[in-house]
Amino acid sequence: MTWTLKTCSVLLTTLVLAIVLSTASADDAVSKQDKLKAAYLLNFLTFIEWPNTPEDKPLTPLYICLQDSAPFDQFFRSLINIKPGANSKRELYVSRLSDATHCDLTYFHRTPSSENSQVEGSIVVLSSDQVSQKNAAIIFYVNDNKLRFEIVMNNIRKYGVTVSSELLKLAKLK
Amino acid sequence: MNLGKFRHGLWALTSLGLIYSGSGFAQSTPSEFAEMSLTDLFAQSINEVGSSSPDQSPWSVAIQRSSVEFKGYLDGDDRVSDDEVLWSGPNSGELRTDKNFPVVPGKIVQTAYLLSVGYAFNDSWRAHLTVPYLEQSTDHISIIPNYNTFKIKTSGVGDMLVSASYRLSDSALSDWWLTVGLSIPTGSIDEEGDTPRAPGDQQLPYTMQLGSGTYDVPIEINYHAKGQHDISLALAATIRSGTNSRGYRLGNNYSLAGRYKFNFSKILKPYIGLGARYSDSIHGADTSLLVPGAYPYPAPITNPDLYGGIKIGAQAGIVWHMSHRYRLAAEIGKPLYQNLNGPQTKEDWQSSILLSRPF
Repeated sequence: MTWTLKTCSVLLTTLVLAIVLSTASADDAVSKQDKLKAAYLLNFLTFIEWPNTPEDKPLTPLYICLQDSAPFDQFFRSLINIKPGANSKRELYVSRLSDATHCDLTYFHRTPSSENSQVEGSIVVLSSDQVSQKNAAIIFYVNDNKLRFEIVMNNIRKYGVTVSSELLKLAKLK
Repeated sequence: MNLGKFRHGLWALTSLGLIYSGSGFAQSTPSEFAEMSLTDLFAQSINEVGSSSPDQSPWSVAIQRSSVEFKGYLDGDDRVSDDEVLWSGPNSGELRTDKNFPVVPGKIVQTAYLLSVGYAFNDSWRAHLTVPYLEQSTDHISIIPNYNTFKIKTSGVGDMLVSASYRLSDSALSDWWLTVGLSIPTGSIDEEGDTPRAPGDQQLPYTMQLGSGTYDVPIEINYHAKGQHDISLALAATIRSGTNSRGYRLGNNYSLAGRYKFNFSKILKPYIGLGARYSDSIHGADTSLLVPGAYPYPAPITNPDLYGGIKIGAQAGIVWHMSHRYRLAAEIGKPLYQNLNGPQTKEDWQSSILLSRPF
């Protein structure tokens, strides 16, 4: 066996191993609508500016909390891994709502069965208008086979965030 | 020796291109979603690929031109010169053996133009019809008077392929497809040309024929990692059946190929690939290619045992997303290692260009 064959064998084996390992981490299916919601969430992190507290300290990380939903959770985390600088100023951390102690943005895909204290002070994003959660600031809806979102201005103002005009232009304002 | 592998390679390339072209355009990978702007998202339909949506079609079309050139000889993985393969004749004092011949192909160039049409019945089922048009030419050297150098060309429609692809699984990070096809023997196996074997036109060797002459079953399993790293893997085989009207069957092919696509830009996506392929030799023989005497094979390409072997090759290519609907892909490939049932002409390089309108 020549060195070339050995090199090729090593490269092929490495490729197969890489694929097998990545297969092991694969999760269940995510619908295109949910993928779009995940991508919108990523963009919200770019176009919403959170206040820093206290102001003279280094910028604190942003905590994004997801209601337990394995495939969506996995997909959104992969988006964050690909684009960790979605928010140009702060580090991003993603956690499940049940594990979180503090949330800056919380995404609900179903109406929670109980109160979540971590949601206090967090921008609440709802998967659809079929989901209920008090103080919801952004609500997804479907219009003409396209995913759209509504911003509840009174609720989003409570958090002292600055919403980019680009985001407001595309939203239905309430 | 060459043609069976060439056809198999083309099929795999087309199949990969068609299957993954759909997912690429339909924005299904995390990388693609991560790169989408608010405006991009606003324009997206929530419908999945294959579902009724005004901005997607269940039809796909692809036109591909692929070329492969064979030059030089290998016996196993040892280089053998053309002069060593060419027997110098009875007056030269050189012994005639099973490894030298009075006629030797110098360079073989095979080009295929493939038209593929696909239809997505739904998100999980797709069907393809591929029609190849082949052009082949072989330069020869020989010790036969008036045939010291000569070229033979053939061209025409090759074996048509119908295939069905089923998505075995789909997740946020990967999907698996199984493709099973039927290669229909529409390509001629009766191509003739002027060779030194006799005056006028005679039956040409296996490499110069346009089809296999048998019903063959290509099977392929594709894996596509859609996470941060865009990796695809194809495990493929072409299983041939029966014996054709000339009394032979081309060898089965088995291949494993991987591809890594770089996500530098939304428009231009370069990739690199690595593949290994094993081919059987030809079973049976076309007896019209033989000559009387102790050494019945006048050229290496007339000996069915001097086909097949192992090839490992690397490819590099780039995909240009020309518009929402169309893309153009170009690829070059070079073998890294070949171990052939020889003496056999070795593959020198291959290239491909593909224009597609995916699902």
